[in-house]
Amino acid sequence: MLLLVLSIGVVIASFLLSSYICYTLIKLGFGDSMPSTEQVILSAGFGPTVVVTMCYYLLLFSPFDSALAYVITVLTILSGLALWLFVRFRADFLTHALAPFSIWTTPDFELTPQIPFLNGFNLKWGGRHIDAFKVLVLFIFIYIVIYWLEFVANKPLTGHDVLEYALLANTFVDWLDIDYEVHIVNEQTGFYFLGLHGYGFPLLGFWEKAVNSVFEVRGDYFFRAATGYYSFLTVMMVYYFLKRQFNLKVAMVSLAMLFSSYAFYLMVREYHIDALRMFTLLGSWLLLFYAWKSQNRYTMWILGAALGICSFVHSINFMISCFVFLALVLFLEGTMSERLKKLAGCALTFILFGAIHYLLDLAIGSGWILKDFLGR
Amino acid sequence: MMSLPKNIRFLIGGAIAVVLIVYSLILFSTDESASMYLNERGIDSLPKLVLNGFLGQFFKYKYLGNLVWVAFPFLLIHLAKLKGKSSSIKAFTLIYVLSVLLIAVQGYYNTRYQLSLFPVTISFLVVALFDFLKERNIKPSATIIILGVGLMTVFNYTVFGVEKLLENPPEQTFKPKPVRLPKAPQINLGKRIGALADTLNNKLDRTWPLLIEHDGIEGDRRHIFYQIDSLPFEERILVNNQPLVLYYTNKPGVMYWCRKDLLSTQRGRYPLLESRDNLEVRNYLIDSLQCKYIFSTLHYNEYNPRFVEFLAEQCDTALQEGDYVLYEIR
Repeated sequence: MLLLVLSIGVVIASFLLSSYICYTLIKLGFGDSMPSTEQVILSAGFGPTVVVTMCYYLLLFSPFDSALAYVITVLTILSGLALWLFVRFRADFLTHALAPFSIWTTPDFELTPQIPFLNGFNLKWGGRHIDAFKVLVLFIFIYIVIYWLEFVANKPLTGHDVLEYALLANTFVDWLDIDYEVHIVNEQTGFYFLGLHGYGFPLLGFWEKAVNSVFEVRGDYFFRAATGYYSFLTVMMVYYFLKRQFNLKVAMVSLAMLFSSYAFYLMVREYHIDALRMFTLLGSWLLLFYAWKSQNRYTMWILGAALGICSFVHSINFMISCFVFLALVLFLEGTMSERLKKLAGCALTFILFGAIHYLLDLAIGSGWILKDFLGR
Repeated sequence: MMSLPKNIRFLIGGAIAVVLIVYSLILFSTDESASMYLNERGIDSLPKLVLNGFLGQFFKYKYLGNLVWVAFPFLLIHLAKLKGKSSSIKAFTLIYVLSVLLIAVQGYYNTRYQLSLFPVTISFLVVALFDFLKERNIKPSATIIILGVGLMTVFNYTVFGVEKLLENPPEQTFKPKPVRLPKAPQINLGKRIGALADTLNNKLDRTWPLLIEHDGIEGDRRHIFYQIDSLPFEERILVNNQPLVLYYTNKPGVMYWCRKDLLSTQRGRYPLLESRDNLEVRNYLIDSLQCKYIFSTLHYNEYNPRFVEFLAEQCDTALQEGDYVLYEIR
């Protein structure tokens, strides 16, 4: 049990480090043109995918033959980079990460009068007045967190697609290598990877299982938790963006409509790639929204990296990212050559952070969506 | 709040009528002659293929809710008024429209793909709706909004509730065999409290497989995976589109999907049943693939009558738990 807790701790620590790296880079690129809350949400979501990208390149070149070596390498690079960024820029991640919660501790900010059915509802604690709506939301939040933790701890992975990804993660742990081949088959188990999509999600599982194998424990808790985690971040992203760009009413109604649909409920509750897929897609669009305003070289690099990561998760995201490039080419400011110059760095990071997978798969792998055309 | 102008009332009335007509068209018609796959995906007739499939991102009420379709006319209005808008709005519109088209063409059969742009569509709808009302100087009260969304939520979930009530349990075509469970350690408490010990032992016998360290699936269904683990290692299992077996047992398998009749092996993907009679299939499975067992579900079997025929002719039911079945090839 202790080893399992340690293993989960290492996974969480690695994701915190990578989220900090993401936060600093976004902060440096966008400065105050993007609100801190959005920066924190994007960093928390894209953070784990930085680890995924590192694992991808390490497995592609496969310099080691033990999981321990991979884990130590990733942790060393992450710690080194995070430390260097902290010493150099001292971005205050924690204060901003906690900023969204500050309204709950600000006594003069009351939500109750804005909600009709709570009007006149009066709560007192130790002689002090407490905002009833804040208490209500806090209780709902705590309930959801407890329910989610209990759910993740007890509900095993089920469902065809998510198990395919989990089996691919196991295969990567077995092989400690990524080879582009026409048929990806783990002869030991008989598993054949049928998917056409990038390795973003399976490598999230690989990292957890690689850490587990170092501690000699079994489990896929983070892989399970990813669905709820990315669903939560997606909801937060939609809420804060709409509240900031429009108003509280638009944000609340949109969220209520999201949750009124059965498909969204399924997405939140069933372990699947969808939450990660949707978060990375919407996250890259959010970055596009802010990058459009600044249109400088750094924001374009960050945008390219986000689009690459988004593509690495799913083929549909890759195609949509290509549409983003098309729109950038057509509608960015300046002449065509100026636009292309601006986009060169963006295209490079796009390829490096995920699109490379599809290029390799087309060139030397299964042939991706052109497998029939290429006769593979 | 001012009262609604006449044209708005007509618009709302017309919208409700359209919703009702389309709803009945989509939900309550099933083409029995269509394949099981199309029926399950809700695209078994042309109107359903168009509305649930290609336009499913707006009209798949069952999954996406009964109001998202309103975004569709707003989108058309937005496109008509696009000229003169800023380049960023044009860019985002282009990305969104191309994405909608991509999902319409490539993901029309899959609700999950149709969900991809859902938060964007919903946000667009709410913003457009508020703008629409604002232009006409109509200010909806918070109570009306909360009631509206609340009613919509209840309605959306009621559709599933009613469907669940009407659902028939799957017919079991094979007679289940009793599952032999691993023996639990017995408690010996002497004669005086022997009755209590018996009760405890009975309980242990029943719950033991649930307590042993074995990643399991949904409560009582886990016995079958334990049993599969205890089969001889060298005898592989043909796994009919159920990665569960490969993930939760140590038994090596060969992947197969009966709906498409495709084996997935090191040699690639190729048909199993096509161009082979049942005896040849049996011999191929045992001699070439070293498969002595087949794992499937009753539900999946129905996708391919030829597969069912093969199972009936060449296999025995070794174990069955709920919908999961393990067949032993004769």
